[in-house]
Amino acid sequence: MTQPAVAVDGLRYEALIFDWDGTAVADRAAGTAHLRALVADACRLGLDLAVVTGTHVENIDEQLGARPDGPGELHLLVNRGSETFRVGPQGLALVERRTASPAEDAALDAAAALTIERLAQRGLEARLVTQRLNRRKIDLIPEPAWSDPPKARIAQLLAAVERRLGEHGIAGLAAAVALAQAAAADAGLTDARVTSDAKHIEIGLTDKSDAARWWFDHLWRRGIAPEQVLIVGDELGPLGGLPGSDSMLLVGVGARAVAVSVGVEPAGVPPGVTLRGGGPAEFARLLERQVGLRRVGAMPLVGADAAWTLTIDGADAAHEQARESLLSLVDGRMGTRGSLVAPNGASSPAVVLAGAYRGEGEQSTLQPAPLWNRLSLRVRDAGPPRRVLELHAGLLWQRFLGEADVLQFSSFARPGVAVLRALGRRQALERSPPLVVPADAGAEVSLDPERTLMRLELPDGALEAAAAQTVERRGETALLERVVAYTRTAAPPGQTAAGAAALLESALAAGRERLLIEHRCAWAARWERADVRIEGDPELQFALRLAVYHLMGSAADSGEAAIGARGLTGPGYNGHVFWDADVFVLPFLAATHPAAARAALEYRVRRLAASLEAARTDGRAGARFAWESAATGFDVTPKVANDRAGHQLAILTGELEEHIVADVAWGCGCYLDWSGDEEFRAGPGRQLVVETARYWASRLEWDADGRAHIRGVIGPDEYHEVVDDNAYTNVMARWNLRRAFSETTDADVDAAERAGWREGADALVDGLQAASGLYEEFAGFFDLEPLVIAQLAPHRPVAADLLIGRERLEQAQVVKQADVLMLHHLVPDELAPRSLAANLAFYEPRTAHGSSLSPGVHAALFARDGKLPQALEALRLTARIDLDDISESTAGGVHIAAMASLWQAVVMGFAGVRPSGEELLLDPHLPGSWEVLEFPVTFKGAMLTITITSSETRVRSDRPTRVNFAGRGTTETGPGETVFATTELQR
Amino acid sequence: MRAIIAAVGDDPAAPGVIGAAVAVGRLFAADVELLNVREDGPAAAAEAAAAAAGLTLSTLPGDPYVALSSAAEREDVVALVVATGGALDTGHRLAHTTRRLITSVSKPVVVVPVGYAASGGIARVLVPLDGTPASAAALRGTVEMAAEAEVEIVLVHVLDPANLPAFGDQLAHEVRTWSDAFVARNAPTAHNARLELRVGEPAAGIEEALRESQADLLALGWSRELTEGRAAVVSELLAAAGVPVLLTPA
Repeated sequence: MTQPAVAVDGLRYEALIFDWDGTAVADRAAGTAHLRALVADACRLGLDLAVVTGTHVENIDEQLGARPDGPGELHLLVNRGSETFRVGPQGLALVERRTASPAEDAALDAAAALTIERLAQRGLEARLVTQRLNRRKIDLIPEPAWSDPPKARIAQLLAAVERRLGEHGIAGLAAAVALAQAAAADAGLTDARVTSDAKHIEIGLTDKSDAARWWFDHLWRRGIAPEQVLIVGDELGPLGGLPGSDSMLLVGVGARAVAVSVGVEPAGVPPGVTLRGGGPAEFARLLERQVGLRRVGAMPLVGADAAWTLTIDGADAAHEQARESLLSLVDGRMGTRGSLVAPNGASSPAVVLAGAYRGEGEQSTLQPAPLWNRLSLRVRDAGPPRRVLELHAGLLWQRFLGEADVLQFSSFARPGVAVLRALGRRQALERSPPLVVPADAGAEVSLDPERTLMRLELPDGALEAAAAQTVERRGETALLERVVAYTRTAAPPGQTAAGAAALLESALAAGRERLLIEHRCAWAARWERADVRIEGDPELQFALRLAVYHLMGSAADSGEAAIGARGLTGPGYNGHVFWDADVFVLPFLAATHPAAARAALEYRVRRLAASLEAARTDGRAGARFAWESAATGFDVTPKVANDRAGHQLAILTGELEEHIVADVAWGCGCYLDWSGDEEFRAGPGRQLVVETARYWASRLEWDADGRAHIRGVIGPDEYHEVVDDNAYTNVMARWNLRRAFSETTDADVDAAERAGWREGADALVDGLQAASGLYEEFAGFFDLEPLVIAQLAPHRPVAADLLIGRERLEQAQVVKQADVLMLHHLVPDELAPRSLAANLAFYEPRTAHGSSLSPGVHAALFARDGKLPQALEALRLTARIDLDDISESTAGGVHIAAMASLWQAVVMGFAGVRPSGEELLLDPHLPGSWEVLEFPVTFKGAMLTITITSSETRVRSDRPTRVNFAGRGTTETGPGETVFATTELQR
Repeated sequence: MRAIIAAVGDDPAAPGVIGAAVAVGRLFAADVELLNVREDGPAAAAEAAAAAAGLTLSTLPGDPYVALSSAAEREDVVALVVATGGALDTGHRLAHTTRRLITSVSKPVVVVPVGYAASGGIARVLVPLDGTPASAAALRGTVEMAAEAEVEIVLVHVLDPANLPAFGDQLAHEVRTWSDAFVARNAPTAHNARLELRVGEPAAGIEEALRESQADLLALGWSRELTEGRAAVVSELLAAAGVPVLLTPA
């Protein structure tokens, strides 16, 4: 079903697909000089075009003769969906061709012959006129009077053909097509495409719907949604009882596009299609209009797919700041909160650059950067604002009815470059400065009089911004275009913003349309390798998309990526880097975009020296990574804080939450396991694993029985401080020591030291109770007051420390978040086989979920244990943490690690995906309400797409890959698709 | 011109009421009018207190409630100041007249406790917020006024043990992030305000914060209903607060 007919003029479309004969040209002899110029202009202004036709490419190319030079693309979709060519300055380039097999060719011949024979049996002479690529064309009216009828005479042609058919007992064109379809089936063509243009019947392997399908897929990969596409044809309505040939462009997602017919359409057009008539002249006007709109900087249409857009209407002061976090624009290096561009008292606008900290020690916090997204609008008189974040294209729209429309993006293709385009009241736009110093800038700020260059001093350099802005007057309205570039520099004070200025200059040289196109393409490319599709649960689907959007935008894919607890969406947690980055966010990056995972590790690599020094200061060997890390790598954890009861408490995590050391090593191992990056393994990766192992080796305390202990730590369960032999810490340290042993040889590290690692690992106590299979969270945990959360509160999550007080909490079996269970999630091979169920049954009821990191991990573990209702409950809670602002602190930024845990729960939990050596483990548990779960992963360089339904799992890989499905042994998959049934393996 | 009416009784509370009115007058940027309403007899104590403050006392005959509520509804009057014991009544925590006034007057009413002795202006105001939009709306004007007068604002929120915030990832950051968000939601104009958090019974938590913060004024938003089961927190605080309580109708 198409949309209701919509106004076409005045709306800017991002792509246009059109039929050739009858739509773009009256006939094959028509001149095309004007059309050629229009096509060149349209592409130059960024409009994507596609010609769709049944004829072969030479016919179109010779007549059109276009050689556009982008950034918009021109494609020729020819031979009725069998061939695709890209047209550029150098001419034609074949993109894709469907080639019939000899058997298919023979079947096409047989189908055509059989059709002609069956028509002849009715006394009707029909002729095979051509044997084109993948199809056979039969002339139903081989009479001189109708040898080459123009499109304008389509009604008369149809009448003549139907009269001729009727004279031979065939009830119209539809009956003739049905006859051909039957013949094709009898000839062995199971999926024949039989079409008619009234004069001919064509039997083929493809039709225009294949062309449209390819093109819409291609547009999606360029960040263009179907709603942003205009379809123009002349046969969108039915013809002789058959769907018009151009109506095939409306199949699938094409139904969401806007369609216009310039044809005669004797039987009218389908609902939702606009009938304009006027033939090629009207088509030219439509194209001229699109070119004109682009020349004046018209706004693109906003994406409308609810599964891909976050829409916020109005400005509710109570929720504004949380919404600003959700609506943030992120490009991996820079984050801009999705604040209303107009001043708003409840708002907290902010721009932050990853890793750009001000202050030192525990005072270090992300430096608020100059604001590029402020406009001096008069919103009091405007209607309620609307904001739409288009996740697939990374675009933020704002509409202040009667005042301005605003489009913003933070270039994913050029991280650090931001673009704002506003169309609105001239007075307001003219007085809008390009850069605004944030109220809490704090640092020394230098700003030029035009407010286009700004520099803020940081302890390790400066943050610079350079802006360019134009305001083009149009009577009482104006078009404002603003481009801003941000960089961090080590240049001393007094120097100009050279880096930012160069970045700005390069962006300006690209031009506004190219900036938009490359940005959309960059987002679309990342989505292609990261989108998780869940059919059957739209709410969860959207939450996952929002999570994946923020995860992708949280880390750069070159240099270093400092991933703070709130990503790049707000000032919360001062932008400090915790274990969240290593064990929550990094697995997502490693499985979807290894370069970003590598950048996250580079952040740790560059702080190795500080970590070595920190260990030395503590009298240890190796590297002691900081619990909270910022610019230098030295610990920046606050030392005291007030709790919610008004008590001032000493904060011991910086001193005692030492598992961060193993977490960093685990992140490193995770990246190596997913990527197989041998260069990193041999270089900094090995260094990270070795130095962290050295730390643990020096941290072990040996008892008289030859057992090793780690005493006086805090585990992930921060309700219990200063504990001995925390299971999580010890087992992770053991894993770290063993991994270092396996990643090295005696040639790399002294043999005695390596042997010491293995000896230490084997001697480390882990709290396993052999009889029950339970791991004791720390020494003495089982002696504490037995409590389950249901005894304390009717629901979870709950802050148990506030509920029962810290004193009682320390003496009770109440757990803040997955601790022992975190081991089952991260290092199951380090634990006793089949110990998950017992530990899940014991610890989960005792877990308050006092951390946002907790529910996602439990969702993953419940799923792996086959307890799907509990898994779904925990998953839904995770999904709503930021969308519903459950913690009432999303205002400070989204919980990026909780978002990562949502992805982990689905991919690692429900799908059971995990790298193990050279093979990928896959063990799906699909809830009954999910019809399909599909996602891509990148494993050792192979691009895999995994599609799971209740009956089978399909693994598509672009190269040979080893997959172990449900523990049934290794299967060599790819290139191509391998299907695993739920009961047996199938190839 | 803006005015504050101080209901000065002929009793020992008179100096406290006048002192509170003068201090609150600066906060409201309003002049103070001292009003004594009596049915009979002289008002020596009231007059002496007014004279000591250097202010003029006006007297009106008639029913104190009628006269004071009528004066409070004057267009230029922005607040009424009364003693806990009422304008004329003594010997009760919340006298009949005071009770009637605070539940009927549409303007803010400052209730001055027995034994209150003003020690200068108001340097610090404690503003309890229960996290509801109604509470935030009721106190928005007070917060803005205090900010304008450069009076230190201490916000206090008492968490209900049965409805504690979910999650507390890292205490040092979470409380600050949560607090910033709470202030943004409930008192967005309270720039540089400090938020005190407590867990437990609201009145007890507010009292504790009041003691610890040493605030000179307690500002409460309320529904003007003192019937049984309503405004228990307000009643408790009116009884317990040792500083004037500014009651702002929601």
